[in-house]
Amino acid sequence: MSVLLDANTKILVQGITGTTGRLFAERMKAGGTPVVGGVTPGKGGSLVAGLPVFDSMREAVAATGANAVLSCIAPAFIVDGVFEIVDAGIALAVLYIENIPVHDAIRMCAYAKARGTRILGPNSAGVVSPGLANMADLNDANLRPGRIGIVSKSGTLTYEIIEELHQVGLGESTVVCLGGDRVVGTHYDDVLQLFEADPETDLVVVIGEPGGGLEYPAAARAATMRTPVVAYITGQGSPQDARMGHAGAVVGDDVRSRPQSKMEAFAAAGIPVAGRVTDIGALVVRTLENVQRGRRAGAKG
Amino acid sequence: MKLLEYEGKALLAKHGAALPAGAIWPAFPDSASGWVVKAQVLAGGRGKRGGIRIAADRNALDVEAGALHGGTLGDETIHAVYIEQKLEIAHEYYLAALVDRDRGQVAVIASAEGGVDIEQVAHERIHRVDIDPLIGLAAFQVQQLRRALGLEGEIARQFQTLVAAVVETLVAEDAELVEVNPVIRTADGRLIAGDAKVLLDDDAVSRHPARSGPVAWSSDSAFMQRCRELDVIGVDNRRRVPAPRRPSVSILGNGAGLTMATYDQVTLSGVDVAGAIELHGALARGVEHTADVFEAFFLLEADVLFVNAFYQLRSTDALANALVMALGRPGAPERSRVVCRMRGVNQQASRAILEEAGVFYSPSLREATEKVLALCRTLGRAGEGKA
Repeated sequence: MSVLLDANTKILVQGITGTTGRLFAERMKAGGTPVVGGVTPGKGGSLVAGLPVFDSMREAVAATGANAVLSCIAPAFIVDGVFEIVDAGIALAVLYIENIPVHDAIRMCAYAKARGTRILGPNSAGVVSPGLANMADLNDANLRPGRIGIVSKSGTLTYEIIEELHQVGLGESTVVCLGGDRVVGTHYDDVLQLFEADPETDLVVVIGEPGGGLEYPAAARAATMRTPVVAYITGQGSPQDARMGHAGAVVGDDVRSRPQSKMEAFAAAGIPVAGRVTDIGALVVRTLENVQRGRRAGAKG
Repeated sequence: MKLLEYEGKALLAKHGAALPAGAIWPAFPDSASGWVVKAQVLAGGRGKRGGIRIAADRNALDVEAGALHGGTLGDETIHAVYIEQKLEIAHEYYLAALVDRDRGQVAVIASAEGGVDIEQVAHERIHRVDIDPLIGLAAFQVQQLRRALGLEGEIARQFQTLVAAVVETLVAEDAELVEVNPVIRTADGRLIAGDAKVLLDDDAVSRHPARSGPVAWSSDSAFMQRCRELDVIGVDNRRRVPAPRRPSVSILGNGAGLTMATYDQVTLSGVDVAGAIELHGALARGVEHTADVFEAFFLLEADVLFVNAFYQLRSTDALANALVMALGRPGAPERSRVVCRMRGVNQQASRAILEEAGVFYSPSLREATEKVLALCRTLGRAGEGKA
């Protein structure tokens, strides 16, 4: 099983006739992801990667029964684009683009939340359940179906975590990228709640970073979960006032936004914390072994 | 992007906030009550460092403004001197509107204890309302703050106007923070924005064509200026205190998360980082452009150069070619001090390109990190030998 994506997922690409949208559509189609069409106003009736293009979200949903959207449109159009996605009753939308003005992100996310559309992003690398659906910029060749969930803000760092898991012989149930912007539609604790309900996720890796405080509700949630969680917070050594490509990862004066404070919060919640990214594979293996040992001991007692 | 006080005040004025009469020196406003002479610096706490001075008459104004004009305040360049009419202060309040990123909402914060650092005000004396973005600032929320601050009558009406102006400035000007500290209640019963700290959203520059984007301060290093020109993200630690110890490492990565994680790999092993570049899509602009980025990377003059790129859908041979091209240019570092970890489509080709050029390559982050640290150990020992 998986979270967010399932056997009924049907995906539209918003902005399918643009460079990024077309690439995604072609790759999803080739990789067997259930992509059913795309939307570009004024290009209705054409085909991209053999998929039908519609003028509006509502038309596309009516014709295809789509319930998920990968949005690849430009920042200038994204607010209206998200309003249209929400209006069409889409359940899940990935916003791939970055550098969205923060007040736009606030409006988009608030409207989507009020109307029941789950947003990943802005600046999200997407969501993927290997073998089921790939709504992410991850290469299918670099994925392996498995039972570890990953929730992260970053894209490239997530690639590294996946590789870490593969090196210790594990694979992914679902990889969820929340997005590196300051205001994002879905938070760590929302995704942890979903993973907790997924019987086929054995453990969740939470990848935090400097800036904001979304890791704190995640630590609180993780402490109450039956599914074990391990955490890694990046940016421990990087300067706290630098913006390194994630608008969200700039630390203010607030001590809570620092990686060290977040690591302490997870540790205090009883969650194992990896120091370096290259420690994660071993930590996941050890945590799974401890849980199994605990369960066996519990069964005997 | 942080604004200077007078720039922030200009935005507040546009949205209807009441301000003291003011002008940039050598201009100054008419005043029968003397002037306040204010150094325009980006850092806070300027009052304690002599950046705010009182001038009772014209002579004093010339002296005080002249003393600050074109100078520095500590390490900070004084960008301008702003002269304001001096007000007779009856009370100072605090008011700010800001983006609460975790809630995804705008919050308005107010306190009857203004004129001091808000972090020093007791928690229960700070009042806050959160604005639903679908509704906007509601009248009852303003009333809630007004009551908490104990404002009545004519001053209460002025407070409503000021709160609305501050929130409107935040949203309409695409700011992340608009802080007015202090809000001054004058002896003659006016409520006036005494200071302004405004932080603009760098991602909204395109919506405000008059803005030039993040200002390139002349104090920036050649490295940082070059990074801006090349549209990549640079971090230069060389002027930080304490300065990076030698042997130092510079890092070039793709994506914020991976670049930060690479940084951790090095610093957690006790080695300092001179600076970093996050490629931020540079590779899509071709080999020549990427070679220019590597050339900028060399400006950090680190002892060991750590390249860590992980692509899913992109071939890394363009990155390898760009590095080799840059290594052939004048001023390039010795190839033996460059460590490459590249993952992506066609990474075997990258390996061949790099190894033929005499550059260390590994597909594994663990192995590449070990190589970087081993090089640092060798250089460290050599350095000790010399000393």
